[in-house]
Amino acid sequence: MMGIASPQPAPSEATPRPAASAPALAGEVHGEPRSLLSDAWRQFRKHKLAVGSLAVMILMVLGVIVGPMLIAYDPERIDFKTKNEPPSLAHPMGTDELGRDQLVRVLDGGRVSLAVALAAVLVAVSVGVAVGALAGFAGGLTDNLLMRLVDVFYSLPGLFVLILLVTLLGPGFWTIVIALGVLRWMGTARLVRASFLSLREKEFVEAARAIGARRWSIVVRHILPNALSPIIVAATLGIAGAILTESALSFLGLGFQPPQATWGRMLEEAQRPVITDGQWWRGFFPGLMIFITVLSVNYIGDGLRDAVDPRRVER
Amino acid sequence: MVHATAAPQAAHEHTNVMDRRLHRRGLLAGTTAAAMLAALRGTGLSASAAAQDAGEPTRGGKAVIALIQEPGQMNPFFNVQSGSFLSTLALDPLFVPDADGNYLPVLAAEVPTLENGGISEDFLTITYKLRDGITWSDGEPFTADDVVFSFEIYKNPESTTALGTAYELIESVTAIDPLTVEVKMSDINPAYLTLWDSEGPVQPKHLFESSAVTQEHPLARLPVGTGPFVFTDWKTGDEITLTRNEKYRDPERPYLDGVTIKITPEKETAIASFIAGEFDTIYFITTGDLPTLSAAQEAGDGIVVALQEGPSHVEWLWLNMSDNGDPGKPHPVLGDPAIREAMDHGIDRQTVIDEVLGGFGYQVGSFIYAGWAAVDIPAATYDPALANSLLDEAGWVMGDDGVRVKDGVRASLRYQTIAGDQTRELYQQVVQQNMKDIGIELVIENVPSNTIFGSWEEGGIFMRGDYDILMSRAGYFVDPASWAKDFTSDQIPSDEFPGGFNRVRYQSEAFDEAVNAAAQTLDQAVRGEAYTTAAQQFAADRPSLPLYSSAWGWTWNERLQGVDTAFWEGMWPSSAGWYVNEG
Amino acid sequence: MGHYLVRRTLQAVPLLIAISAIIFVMLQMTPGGPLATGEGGGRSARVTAEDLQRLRNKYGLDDPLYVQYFHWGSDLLRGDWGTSFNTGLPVLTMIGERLPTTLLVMGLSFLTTLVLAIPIGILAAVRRYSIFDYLTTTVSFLGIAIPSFWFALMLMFIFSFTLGWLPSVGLSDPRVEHSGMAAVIDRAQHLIMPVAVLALTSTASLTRYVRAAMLDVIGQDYVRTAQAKGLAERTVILVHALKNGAIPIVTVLALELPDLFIGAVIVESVFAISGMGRLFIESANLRDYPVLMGVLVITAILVVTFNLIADLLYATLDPRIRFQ
Repeated sequence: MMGIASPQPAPSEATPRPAASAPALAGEVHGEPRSLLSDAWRQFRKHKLAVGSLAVMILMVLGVIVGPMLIAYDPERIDFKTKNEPPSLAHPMGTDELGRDQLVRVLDGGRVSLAVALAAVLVAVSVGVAVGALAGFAGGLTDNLLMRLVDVFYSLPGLFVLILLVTLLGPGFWTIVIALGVLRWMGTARLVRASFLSLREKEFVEAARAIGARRWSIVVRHILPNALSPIIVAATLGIAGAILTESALSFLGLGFQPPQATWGRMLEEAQRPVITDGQWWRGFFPGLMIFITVLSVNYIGDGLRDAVDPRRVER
Repeated sequence: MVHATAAPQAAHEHTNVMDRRLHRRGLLAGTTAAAMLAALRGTGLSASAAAQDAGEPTRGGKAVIALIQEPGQMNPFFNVQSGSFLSTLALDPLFVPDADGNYLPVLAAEVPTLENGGISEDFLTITYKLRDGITWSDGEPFTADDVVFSFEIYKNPESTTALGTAYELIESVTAIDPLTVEVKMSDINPAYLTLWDSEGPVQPKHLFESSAVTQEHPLARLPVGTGPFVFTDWKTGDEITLTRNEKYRDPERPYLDGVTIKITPEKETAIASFIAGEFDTIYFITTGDLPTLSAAQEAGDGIVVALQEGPSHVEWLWLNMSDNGDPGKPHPVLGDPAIREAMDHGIDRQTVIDEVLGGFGYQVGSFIYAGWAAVDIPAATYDPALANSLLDEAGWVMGDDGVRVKDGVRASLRYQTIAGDQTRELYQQVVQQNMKDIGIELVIENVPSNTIFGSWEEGGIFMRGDYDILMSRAGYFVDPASWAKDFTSDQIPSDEFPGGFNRVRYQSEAFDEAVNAAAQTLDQAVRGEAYTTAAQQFAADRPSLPLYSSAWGWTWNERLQGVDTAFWEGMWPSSAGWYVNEG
Repeated sequence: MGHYLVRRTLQAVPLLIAISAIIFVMLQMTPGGPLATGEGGGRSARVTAEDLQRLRNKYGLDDPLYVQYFHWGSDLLRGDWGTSFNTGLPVLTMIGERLPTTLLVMGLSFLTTLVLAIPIGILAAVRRYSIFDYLTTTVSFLGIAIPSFWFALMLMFIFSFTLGWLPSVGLSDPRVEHSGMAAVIDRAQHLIMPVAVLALTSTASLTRYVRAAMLDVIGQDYVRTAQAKGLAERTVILVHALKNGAIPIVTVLALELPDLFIGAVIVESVFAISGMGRLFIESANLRDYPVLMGVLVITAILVVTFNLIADLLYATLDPRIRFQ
């Protein structure tokens, strides 16, 4: 998963994207979810970069939500009197060729970029959990069929299908979210299925079954929480991949429609100003935001992995 | 001055131009050649960049042209994509229009006129005299049989030609002798000088096994001609190479050893690389590129930018007059004349030109703004207050969200053009804001070209009427006959008439009447008057709004010498005279 | 295992059918088509209705969808990949012209990745928590975090437009015909930036992977035993640890190839390289169905093949794995 389509660092996932037959590793099984969480937090705090990154991301999210409200400029209002200004006190990130404040556009665009990434990951995780849980719990033919479906999707040339979908359906929030999500759920599905397979026979599940708990409640209350940690790690890293893919789509002219800013679109629009007019600020700031976000998300993912898999850290 | 033609005649007086740059249709019946001959008016380009004077031309070297959009075939006889125009490097037309629109003979020996007997008294027979001593690049002589054969290709139902409607009026093509071709028309064909021009050049008979030629034919991809260069190779997606035609009619020329057409699909990169000196010229640039290129020229980057004077294509906002393509129902928002009038006054055209296009553009208000019949109607004044009051009066009430509403209909419209053009996206946003200021919401939804311009059968949204506002360039014609006809109500596309071109579905009896009147007379004065009526009607009804008229230009590296833009088609017909001065 | 191979290959067939059918339907459902005429932009935009209809008949575009799909599919089975609507060339010819270019850029990037990532990753694992390790981590995160098109543009901006050291686009100098050594150098100059861009992301992530895999094995008992026995560190690392760490690394490498292949689309766009990615985008824009389908089928075959190779390698290296 290292190409353009899915540039997340592969080692992170508990399963290194094994092909169908390779044994999917189950996440480590822990006892109670609650102690797992507090345990994890204690471990996570040890990873200083991850903690720092988490702080950065919280600031980033707050910034893109609250920021545009605090800034006097409208991200879309055109004012030619202030066009192409380099960074200054009034416009810390400069202005674009339509005289719009880059800072507010970076924040407003960040909201969309992050929202797309988050929504895409949510779609991917939801589909993945549903498919994985069904396959793992039902077993048999259902399992077999679903896993073949996973193979089908793994074999799709991801970015190509994405380009085709967006070319044909026209770019838009949901097109991009669904296209991104639909191509990224398979890892989660395998993780969840693997957890199910290993947990199904565990004592606490047996016990729950013995006292007459329903199948559903066993899934929701006992098995899912235990499968959660690798999913969270994979999802975190998926955000980084989605942000980068959105920017690649923008570059190919398949990003959001104007006047909506996204980081990817801003970078794409900055090509000519930067290269032929030397307006470095046009590319620098949106690029920096993508960079910081992807970096932070990766560190957080790193920290999370250590946190939910203590064996790795204390080895 | 260096010309592509070895010895161009002095411009023939009274030789009219049928501009076919955007529009392939010949004029419809009703114009006489005589009326046409009297029609010339200087609307063409008075080229601003004369041939450079840089000493003696030297032989040798290559020129590199960056081509943004690779065509499927290089032979324009079988291809309408813009890139196949570069075949003009290898293929000669019968006539080439100069900068003022006067046709000069190239493969023809002279321009047919009434005086020289080239045009019959009833205007239905045109006799083309061919230039003697021309050979194809393989050495075979170029004769009247080739012209006859080219027409046979077009007539053969097995062929897949891509020629304009001017050919539809041809009844027969006969070779009188090896250098004389007689063409009989079924009706008066004012486009007779555009037959076998750079968009449908004569094909070499001796190289074809039959007249059934499809676009798969190797000669459809890489044609053979009589021009200064010869196509030698095409690595698809990469480059097309041409070498000197050793059999060219002027033994001194071409000066260059060859030309390489380098396909560079990302325009931003292509322009940057061009400015950095990696290419000698670009095919082709648009208004939005001119500010960058002019700035580079002033900064001493060693490039030349030549501009045509006066307006060229107009960027139109096509307003859908129908509800989803059904001409029986008016568009819920755009069907209201007040909306269209308010929009017209709400657009700040001058700001678009000055701030987005760097001043490279003109305001235009008339439907017929170029050509002999040009009607001088100024663009609507920018007056948002007027626009707002118009809407208020018409009952469009401002809603809480800043969008006007009338009878439960929100004034919210899709605004679409071809995706991926950054300059267009910039002024789309200006127009969007202008409209927001008067309570009309525009939602930009740009899509690929093929989605917009697909045929009726393919469900192209323009043809089907599945749009609110579309934006594209058109309208630059010397004679407005076919252009005007595209807006008459009998041209509305439908299942029965999928080839109709009135895609805005404009219906006005007064307009129809005026356009038909113009098509039924031979009297130029009457025609002009009728077109004036039509243009005024159009301006009053506003089925489409002109945004601005492009400036048109060409650019090349100073390394390339001998470039002459004194042609209607700019620098390209002068390629035989190009040379490079290294060192 | 032979049985397994056959089964996996057979699985690819319904997969390809499913993919192609979905895409076929998608293509036809959306407005617009291959015969759109366009805006012109300096040229005519209008063909006669008769000419259009001739093309429709020729390509069978008026046939029902399932008939068109059936024709395409049965032709493909007979080895006929169809003819491009746009160029009139056989699809296989067009792919044949582009595939080598993409494979060249991809292959060089892959080699670069290997040569850089494995030693760096091992060293980072061995010198865990050293400055080198942190540096590696930081640099590889940097590599992962830069959108590749932007990285490409910045390289071009610096090395082509500012310094003038490297040519910006294409794979050869269009002005001068080079031969012999000069041609190789010319080609190399054109390849440096595209390969660097493509290799950056994969090197960055592979380094991380190698490091993690090595850390895993270094922690294992037998390595500790080897160390305790006083074997030279180099021997321990290279012989014992690497042998075991290689399993996941090799798997990931095999899986990475299709990603490089697909990732080339960005690089090909920025550097105007005529490869498969560009071909795909262009035919998507032109609705050139036969080419589009051809590229997708080839790509899907590649992906499936590399997945298979990864599986096989995994099994060969790790005897504990048995094929079902």
